[in-house]
Amino acid sequence: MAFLNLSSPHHHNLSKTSSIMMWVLLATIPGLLVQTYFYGYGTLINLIWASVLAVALEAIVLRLRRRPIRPHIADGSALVTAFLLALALPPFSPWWLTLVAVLFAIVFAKHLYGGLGNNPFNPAMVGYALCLIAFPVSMTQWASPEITLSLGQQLQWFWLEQIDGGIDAWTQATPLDLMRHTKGLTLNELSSSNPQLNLGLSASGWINAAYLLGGLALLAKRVFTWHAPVAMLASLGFCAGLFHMGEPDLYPSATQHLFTGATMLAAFFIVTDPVTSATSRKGKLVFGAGVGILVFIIRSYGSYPDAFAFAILLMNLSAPLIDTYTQPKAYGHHQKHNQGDR
Amino acid sequence: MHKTWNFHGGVHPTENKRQSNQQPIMVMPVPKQLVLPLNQHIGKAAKAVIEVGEYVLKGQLIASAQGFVSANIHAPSSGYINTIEDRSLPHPSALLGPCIIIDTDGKDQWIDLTPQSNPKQLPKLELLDLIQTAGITGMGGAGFPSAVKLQPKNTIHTLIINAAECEPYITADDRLIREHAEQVMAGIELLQHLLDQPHCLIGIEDNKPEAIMALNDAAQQLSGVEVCVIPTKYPSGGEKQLIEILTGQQVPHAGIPADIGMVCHNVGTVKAIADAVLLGQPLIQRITTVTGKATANAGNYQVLIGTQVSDLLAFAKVDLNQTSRLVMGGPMMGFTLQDIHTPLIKGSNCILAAADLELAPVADHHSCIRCGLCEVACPAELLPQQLFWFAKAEEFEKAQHHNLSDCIECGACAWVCPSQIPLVQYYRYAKGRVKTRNHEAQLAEHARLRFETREQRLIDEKLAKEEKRKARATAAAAAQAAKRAANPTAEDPIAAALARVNKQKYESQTAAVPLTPEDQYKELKTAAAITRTKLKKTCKALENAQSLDHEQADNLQETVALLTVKADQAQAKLQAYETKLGLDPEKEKILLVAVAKANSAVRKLEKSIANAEDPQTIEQQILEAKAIHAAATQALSDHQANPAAKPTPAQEP
Amino acid sequence: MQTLYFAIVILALLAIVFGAILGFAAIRFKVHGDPIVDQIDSLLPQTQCGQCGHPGCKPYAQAIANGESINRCPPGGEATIKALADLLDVEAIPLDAEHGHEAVRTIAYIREDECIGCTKCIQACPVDAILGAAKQMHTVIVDECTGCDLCVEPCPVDCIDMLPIEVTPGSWHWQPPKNLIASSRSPHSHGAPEHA
Repeated sequence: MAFLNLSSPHHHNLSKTSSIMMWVLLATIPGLLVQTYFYGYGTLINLIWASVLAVALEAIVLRLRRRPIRPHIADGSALVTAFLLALALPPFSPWWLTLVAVLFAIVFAKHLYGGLGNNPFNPAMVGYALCLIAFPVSMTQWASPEITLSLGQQLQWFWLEQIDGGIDAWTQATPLDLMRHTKGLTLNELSSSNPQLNLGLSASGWINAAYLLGGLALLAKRVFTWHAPVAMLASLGFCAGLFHMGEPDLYPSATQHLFTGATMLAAFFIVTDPVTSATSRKGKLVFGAGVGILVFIIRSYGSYPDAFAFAILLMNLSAPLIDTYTQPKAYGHHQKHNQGDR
Repeated sequence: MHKTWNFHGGVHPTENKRQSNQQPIMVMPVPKQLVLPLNQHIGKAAKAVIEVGEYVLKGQLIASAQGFVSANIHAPSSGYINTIEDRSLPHPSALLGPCIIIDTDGKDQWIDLTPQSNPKQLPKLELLDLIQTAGITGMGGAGFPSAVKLQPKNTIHTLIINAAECEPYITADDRLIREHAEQVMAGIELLQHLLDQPHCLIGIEDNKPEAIMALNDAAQQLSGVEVCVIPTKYPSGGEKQLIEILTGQQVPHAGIPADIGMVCHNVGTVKAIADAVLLGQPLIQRITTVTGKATANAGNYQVLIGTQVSDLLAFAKVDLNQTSRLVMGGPMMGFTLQDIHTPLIKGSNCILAAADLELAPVADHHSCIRCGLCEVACPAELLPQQLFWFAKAEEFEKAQHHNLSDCIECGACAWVCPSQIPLVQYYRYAKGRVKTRNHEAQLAEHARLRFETREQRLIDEKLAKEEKRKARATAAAAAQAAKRAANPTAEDPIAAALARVNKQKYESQTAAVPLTPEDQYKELKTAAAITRTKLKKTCKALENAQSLDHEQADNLQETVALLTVKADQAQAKLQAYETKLGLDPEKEKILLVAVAKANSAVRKLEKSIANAEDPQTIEQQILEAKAIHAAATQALSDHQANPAAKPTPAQEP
Repeated sequence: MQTLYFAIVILALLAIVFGAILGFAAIRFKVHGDPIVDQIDSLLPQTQCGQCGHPGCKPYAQAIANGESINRCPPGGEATIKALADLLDVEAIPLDAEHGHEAVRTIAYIREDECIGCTKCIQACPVDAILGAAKQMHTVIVDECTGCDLCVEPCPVDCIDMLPIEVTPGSWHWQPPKNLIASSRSPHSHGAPEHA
């Protein structure tokens, strides 16, 4: 009679990495739908294309690294990267833009650092930042929410980068872009002179609300803790509110900051990426707060349309440092009234 | 209702307690054989105080404690000491260790017990002594000698009784409280008396309503005892966690509860203490849960310490074909057994005979995604994933810096890990390595000191010698000068010295006592051994030289030849001497073979007697063979005692 | 011209001041002894076996401080090399095979009935771990023995055995688990804790 020789615990709650990833994917659905409603089929096309690319690239790299392919694909991490990239890229992304972003995210940002769990930077953000620097024009072509392209037109653009009437007719700058390049106008003047801005603001408000909904669902499912997203939103809101109070003509309000751009997507789906953020709860608070402040600074003074990619990459860089300084006190280490060390 | 606090982390595994807590405790009959490891507690192993073959009564001391942290061991039933030998220990390593084996006689006869009817009248030291002699150790699993915990240096203001039993499946304490609440209270009274009336808090999880009721009923008569019902959460039964739940205080790092004026005892231990004092019974039995889907009669059993797991499983009707994993202890912290004949010891609270799919499957683990669930679950407030990276990379210094030593190995982190990483096993490994490393560092430091002392000593000796030599030289020169001055016509001193030496030599030669034959034999034997070793070493050197194509090879070749001759000569001399003494060098060998042959003949016959049709003839044959064996042994011992004696003819069986 | 003189004077003053500070620091914070040798020595296993070619661990520590290679200590093995590399901020290199291989720790045992009492092993033992006198049987004090092997060679009757240290439940510890998918090339192998 031979018995198994195993180390305890002999019991497990039977949770799996793949189920965490699946919940993340499911939680993006509300945002995805709202984004599609406002900006057309571009996001959906992007999503499918990015997913196929990510899985294929993951398989190829695993093959090259001589790692087992099935279990790694099954963990769903490549799909999450693909989803986040697809949601962050503009709806008017041609096929090659997504390809470059996914390639860079999966191959360079993830596997060259040792695969899932070992990457210091969020892969999706690396892919996004690379495209932002390399192809700034393509990356700023956001669809205008008032007109919707048909699926055929969208596909035509996606594949051939040709569209009837030219792309300029269908795109506009994002509200954030508009608000930064005020050309000397106050925000109120800008808003009254530019009806597009209000439209854009309401669209991105809806989208952000949808992401917030998905994020809250994940919180309820305890996929992550509240620390990082809350700290990020709070610090961004605080900075924005403070500056808005000082000069309401120059700085948009806290609500506008929180509900434009990719704020909620970043707060609940990217800042919470466990691999690249800080570990302890205190560390997560610092990490989130750092992202919030950086986002405000880059949005207000930088020259890129949105700030998340850079803010998050910068904080990824400092995550190990945060970890070092926020190591929680272990049991038995935080009492003063105990009689000395023995 | 006493206020309770919460501790960080913790998990809620399926309890699985109903399988075993519905039936009353069953008494297991005395098994045929009992196996009692000499070390069933933390601290030094006990020392056997009985002889093999001795008859012992139930409750008789068979191994006595060695030192302060150690515990006595008593015979759990009456019978004969079969042997003291190495058996598989109830330890994750499944290594062998010394055990006393008792063949029980079924009479189960007690020694004379001296119950104390009024123990509070006894001096405290005497009371403590009673507990110490009874060999009581912590019965929750760790096995720390209880008497040690009852002699704290600080004053104890809170006595904590651990009845939480947070591990899934185990219900031994639950049943014990339900059926012996009075005895538990009696034990608590004794402990309170011993520790100068501290306030007593009994911590019990809210999933044991019957036991809570029993405790409340029993506690009514006592003042200063509070039953605290705590929420069910693993590991609330960990000593440090329970203290935090009940008092809100934390045991300081590397400290013990006594540092904050508390002492914690398991409820089973308390009952054992009551039995030891009030009934005079030493710790020889305990209540053990047998459960798991492979168990037909799951429940709690009153077993004798030293009962082999196989006997208990048979009594509880465990189908061994259904189980591939036998766990001693609970599913969270227990260890797997390899040998079914492993004995139960004082701390064995559960045997989990799980069916194949009942426990977590053996799964490959995935990469850590740093999800942080382990940190949320960790009751010691550590950073489990950091520790995991460090343990995996063997960066033990960093792991220690992240408080590896504060890990209580509860397994909550591994339980929640979505990548199924066996985190605790990594920590155990790291802890083991750190321990070994610290031990080695200690040894190295010790060796360094000894080395340095020796070096110093050698230098001192050299200096002293030099000094002496110088002193002698000057003294001699002075003496010489004086002599010369006194007697200038004396003869040459060197010639005189030579003459003296020669004379001495002559005297010693003539006066030499002839060596006894034994000494001479020994000397020759040594000489032969020395030449042999020299030859061996030179051969080795030669081989080395040849492999390196060294010039010295030729020289060495000559030396080898020379040494071969010398060795042969020495051997020849030895043999010549042996024959001269009438020694036959082969003699001893022949005798040895004869003894072995006779022995095996006896054994063979003894074996065959079982199946023989005609046992009487074989018995006759055995007697004959035994006689031959005795004769051969006699011849051999005669020969060894006096090798020169005339040999008696060896008898061939 | 005046500015030039001015600059020269200032520079000279500065030189004097800093020189004085440096000089003071050199005296005030003078390091006595050679701490690096002691630090290196504390990392060596103190087996005193001489396999590195030096008569003990301290001399080897001295030699390392003088620039000798750090990979000549077989009893310390990889762990010692790594620790030394960390301390001296050099690269860890594999063990120099010329000086021996990393082996299980052993302890010397004298087959006592064969011992002739020659005291040669006692003289060879670097840590005084052998007890005995001339023409009397010798024995090894197990707790003191470092397993250096130096007593085996001088024994004229070859009665010393080097035996590996036995594992007891006290010294036993868990091995690291081995079945991590990311690092295993065969996905379906279960690592160390297998069917016994």
